[in-house]
Amino acid sequence: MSTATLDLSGTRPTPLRRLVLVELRKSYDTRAGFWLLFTIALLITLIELVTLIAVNAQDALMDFTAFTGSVFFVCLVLAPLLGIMLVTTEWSQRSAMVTFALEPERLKVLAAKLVTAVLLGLATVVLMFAVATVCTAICEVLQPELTQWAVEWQFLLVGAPLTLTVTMLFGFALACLFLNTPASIVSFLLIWLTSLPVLGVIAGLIPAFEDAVPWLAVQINVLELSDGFPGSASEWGQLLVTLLVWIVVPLGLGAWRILRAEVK
Amino acid sequence: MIAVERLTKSYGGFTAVDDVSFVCHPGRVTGFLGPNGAGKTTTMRVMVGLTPATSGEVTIGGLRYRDIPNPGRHVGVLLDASAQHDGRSGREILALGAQTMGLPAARVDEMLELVGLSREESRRRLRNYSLGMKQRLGIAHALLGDPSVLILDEPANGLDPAGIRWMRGLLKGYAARGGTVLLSSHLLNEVELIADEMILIGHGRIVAQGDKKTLLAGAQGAATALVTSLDNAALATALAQRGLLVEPMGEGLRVNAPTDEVGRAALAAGVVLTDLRSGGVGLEDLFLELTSATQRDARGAVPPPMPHGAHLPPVAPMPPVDHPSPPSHPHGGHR
Repeated sequence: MSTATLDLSGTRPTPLRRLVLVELRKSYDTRAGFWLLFTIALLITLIELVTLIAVNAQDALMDFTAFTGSVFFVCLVLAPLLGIMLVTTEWSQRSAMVTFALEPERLKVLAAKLVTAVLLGLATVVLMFAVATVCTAICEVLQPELTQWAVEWQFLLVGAPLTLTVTMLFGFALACLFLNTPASIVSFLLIWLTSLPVLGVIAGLIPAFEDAVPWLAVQINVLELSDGFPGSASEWGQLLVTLLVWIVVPLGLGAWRILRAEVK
Repeated sequence: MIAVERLTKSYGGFTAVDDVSFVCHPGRVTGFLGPNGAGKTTTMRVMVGLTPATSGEVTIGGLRYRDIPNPGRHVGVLLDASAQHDGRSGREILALGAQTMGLPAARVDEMLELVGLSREESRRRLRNYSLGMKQRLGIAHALLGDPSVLILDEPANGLDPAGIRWMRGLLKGYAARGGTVLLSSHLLNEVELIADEMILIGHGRIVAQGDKKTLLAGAQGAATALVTSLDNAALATALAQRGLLVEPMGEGLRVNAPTDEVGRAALAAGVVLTDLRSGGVGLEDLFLELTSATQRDARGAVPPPMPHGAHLPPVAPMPPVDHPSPPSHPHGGHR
């Protein structure tokens, strides 16, 4: 190793797959990360268990999809926190210095984090349906004549994973833009939960704005995805404009910021 | 090897690194020395691509850092031992590094052993580490990928004396096997003992570079002698008449002149010397002098910074009598 040049024969660029595995590991190897994952899993399970108990206490009709009804909206809000933390903790804990020293291709690190975020999001969907399966099975044992499976395959295989992935990307994009945990979480929740009423108020004040609301109402456009892809051209247009404004633009600005940032 | 070419980094109107060029050779330890805020850390951050340069370039083994595939396997970096998630254990931090670089997990244990972190310590979370332990962990992280180049910012910071000696041995051995080592420090003593070559930086510019001998040879004007005689008062008068700066120190005197000149003065004055030795120009005097333009507590006249790459002028200005420099190292004081 005494030569003036580096012997590169033994090394190849770090594959993305390895970076994804590292990012997955980072998501649970700290106490904060572990408990966040644990809490989300626990909440999903508990909400479905409460539904199970309530249904059986009231002798109500029940089917598989009803178990995932309310818990799905909770997932849509909680899962993106995982994606946000993947990005922002690198900055708050300053570990980005080491991460980027080991992989100077910052966009590759960002891509690995994005893949990891999507995988974690899909894992929450899988957990949600797994718990629903168990709950429906229990229901069927306890009150067979009141229980139906009636699985909505469209929601199970397309709607739910797609919607959750989009909200995950939304949170991820805001995290890249702000690089700060509280700012990202607060803005994510505010925009997701209150953008529609706020847009409504603006439209009330400025009537000309009213036509723009359907193109910007992120929650409505994204939630429609849970029934599958849009049917009409105008719905497609509204969805794409929403995604452009709330995901592509912040993600692009965030990536630009991360690329140029002096990592301290 | 590391080659820094005409590197400049400015923040708005402030120039943190100003047209800096130097080379670190394989098989040698290069010490990067300067007071706080001189631009050492910024230079090192540019080297590994964490800070974009305003102009100029750094190459490592002929490549820009970002063009090195899996750079952790070639360049070991320690910039800030605290810049890790404080909720991870030391072992986990190394394991993440090893996994990123595609190294076997056994490498983690090897490195923990090398830097002297016990099994039990390695399981503690970083927030419970002392500065010295963080520093050892940081050195372990830098060495994980068995790199041929090491870039260490203030690696001795927080280490106890035994730790500093251990690190010295480690880095010397590393360089002896052909590795390139660049380490920075604001403490001269640290660098002086370990570096084969030194680069002095102040105010973002290189004020001097070379091995210890070259630096000292260039600093004749700053030579001092420590002398004790049977009649210190008479000797002091004789020396002062020759226009030399004299100040009492301990049992004897400290004179801003080489020993032969003090000997001649004593001979002429007929004073019996009981002890005469070189006060060692101190590299410390030299260091303070060269960087005093940026020393926050500098006093008295200061020389302007040299243009980049320039060696010392033949005669460096003498420090004023009330120069706050501590006693320099007695000759041969360290082994």
